Amino acid sequence: MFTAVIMALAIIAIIAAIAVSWPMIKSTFDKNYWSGSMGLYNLRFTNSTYAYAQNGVGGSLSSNPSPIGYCIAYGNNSTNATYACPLNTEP
Amino acid sequence: MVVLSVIIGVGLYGYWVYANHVTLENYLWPIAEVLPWRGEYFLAIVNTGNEPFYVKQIYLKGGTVLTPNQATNPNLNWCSVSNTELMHNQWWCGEVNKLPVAVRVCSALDPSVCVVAPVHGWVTVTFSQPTQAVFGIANCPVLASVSDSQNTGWEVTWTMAGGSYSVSESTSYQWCILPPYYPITINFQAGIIQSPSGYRCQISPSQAQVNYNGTPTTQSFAVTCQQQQQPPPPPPPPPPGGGGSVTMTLVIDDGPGASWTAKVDQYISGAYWIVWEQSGSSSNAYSVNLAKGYQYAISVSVPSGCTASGSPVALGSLFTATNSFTETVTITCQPTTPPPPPPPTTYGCLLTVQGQSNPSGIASVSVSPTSAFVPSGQSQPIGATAPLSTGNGADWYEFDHWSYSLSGPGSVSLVSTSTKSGNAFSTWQYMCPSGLTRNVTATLTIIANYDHDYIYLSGPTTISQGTTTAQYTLSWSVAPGSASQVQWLASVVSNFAPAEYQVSATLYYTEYGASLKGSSSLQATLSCTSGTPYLSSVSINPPSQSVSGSSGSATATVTIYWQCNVNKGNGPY
Repeated sequence: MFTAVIMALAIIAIIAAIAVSWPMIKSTFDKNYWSGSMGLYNLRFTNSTYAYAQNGVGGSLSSNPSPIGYCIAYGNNSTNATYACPLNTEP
Repeated sequence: MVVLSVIIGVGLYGYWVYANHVTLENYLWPIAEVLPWRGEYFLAIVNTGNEPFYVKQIYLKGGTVLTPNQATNPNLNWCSVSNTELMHNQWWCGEVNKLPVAVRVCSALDPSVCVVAPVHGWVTVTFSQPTQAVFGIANCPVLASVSDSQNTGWEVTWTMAGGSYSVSESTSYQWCILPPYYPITINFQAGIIQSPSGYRCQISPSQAQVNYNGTPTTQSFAVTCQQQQQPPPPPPPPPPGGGGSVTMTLVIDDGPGASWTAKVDQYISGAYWIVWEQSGSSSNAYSVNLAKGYQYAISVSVPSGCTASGSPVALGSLFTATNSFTETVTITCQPTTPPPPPPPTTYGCLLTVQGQSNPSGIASVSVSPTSAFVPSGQSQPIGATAPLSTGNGADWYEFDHWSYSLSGPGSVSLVSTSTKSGNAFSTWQYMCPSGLTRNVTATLTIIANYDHDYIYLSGPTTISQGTTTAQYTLSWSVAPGSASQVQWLASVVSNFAPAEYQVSATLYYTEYGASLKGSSSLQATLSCTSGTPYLSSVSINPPSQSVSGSSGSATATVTIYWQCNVNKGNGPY
């Protein structure tokens, strides 16, 4: 009798632990996927005044910082552009 | 047993709390980025996930920790320093005076769940070919071109992202189309507006589709023309037994009062030639003389909703003129439908468009239209034109690139840019936000940005006794062009009374694909403390120099061969 109860409690505890763990495990996979995609996120410049982000969103550069997708960028003049993207490492 | 159950229960609860904490932490997806800007650091944080969070702390290099409200507000319309709680795709931004290295954000649902995110740094890219970069011909996403050697009037229209745009010219032309995103499908339609006299032209392809997926693509059109057939030869002798003419009485029965155009064509050698044409909007009768024995056809064009029928000869069919007869054309129209009810009241954006140059006032920038009402959720195409160059003399301004400033709701995207006949052209698209419940006003300023260019020559203009060399410096800025060579020239203007020489420098540079040059010169006068200067010759070294870049300076040395002659004379007698 005692053994049976212990076994039942153990099974309940294992099932509950798995049920509780599942969202956490899934969130870990999601975060890894997000980190991987952000690690590739970059800008591609058509010219010094226009650029596309990794997901195909495009935008014009101005003298003030502006977002293009998840990047921010501005144009210094006709020949220079400065941008920061999730791909970039820490400054 | 009970104790064991309690222990297991408490353990499971603790694990559940921990798992929830980790799960929430895993779904906090902030991205922080920094740019150097205006002498400080511009920090921006975006929520790329769906879990809302707020910005709690900013860690600066050196150990300083700031709260977000201690950052300076950069006054940009797409982010705010005061809004620290960010939903999906919302940005926080601020300016700090030291380099930020990390930020700490906490869940808006459970403030005890926080993550520290590193700050991503910046990259500066330099475009080595500014001229091509500005107009995007070299790296143009979708380059459209029309080859038109006959100077035929043509029009190409294209649709993308719900907008419709067009270019109409009467010469060969190419322009760059900038899709707002990719992958995207662009549908082109091309047509001839006006053919040269005596030619029949067509443009091919008349329709095309470009699927832009990020790879630069070119869509070419070509106009081809053929000389039209010569006028018909004189009619052959009438068939045997024929000759003369017959009269066809053409009765137009236009009961509805519709507008019509009636034609009678003669059919010769497989081609139709118009012999009679008349237009009207009421019933009438006409006499048409036809050459006996020849074939003819009658055609009548009427507006849509109306039909025309002929009797006894069906319209469009061939008949041979043998005897005079009466042809009746009956026009019938369907009852006109009542006008559609007025559309429901729609709200939108009252858009005012203005052109401006940067620096302001140096050039006239024209825009079209200057004002428009854009219904909510719809877009308005806008065109802008600015001169490529303005000003003259030693300094002037060269067009560099387009930008815009929008005051009010909506969004603006640059659709295409091109240059032609000394002007820069751009087309834009203004999108009015959807879901408006009242009319709003927006002002769009399209800015043509210019570079200040100059070619200056500096150096001494007076040479005193004892000086035999002088240095001259040519300074230039020819952006967006690029200089390649400086040629120097020194020459004697006058040997004496006064003794003068001239130094001139010519700068060779390329701009917008054209080879250009600009010159500047200086004249120097020789002076003696005693006596009269006499200039023998001058030389300059180096005579030419290779240079590069859009701005810079070059120096050359002039060697002066001269003397001061003292007139000792014989004195008064």
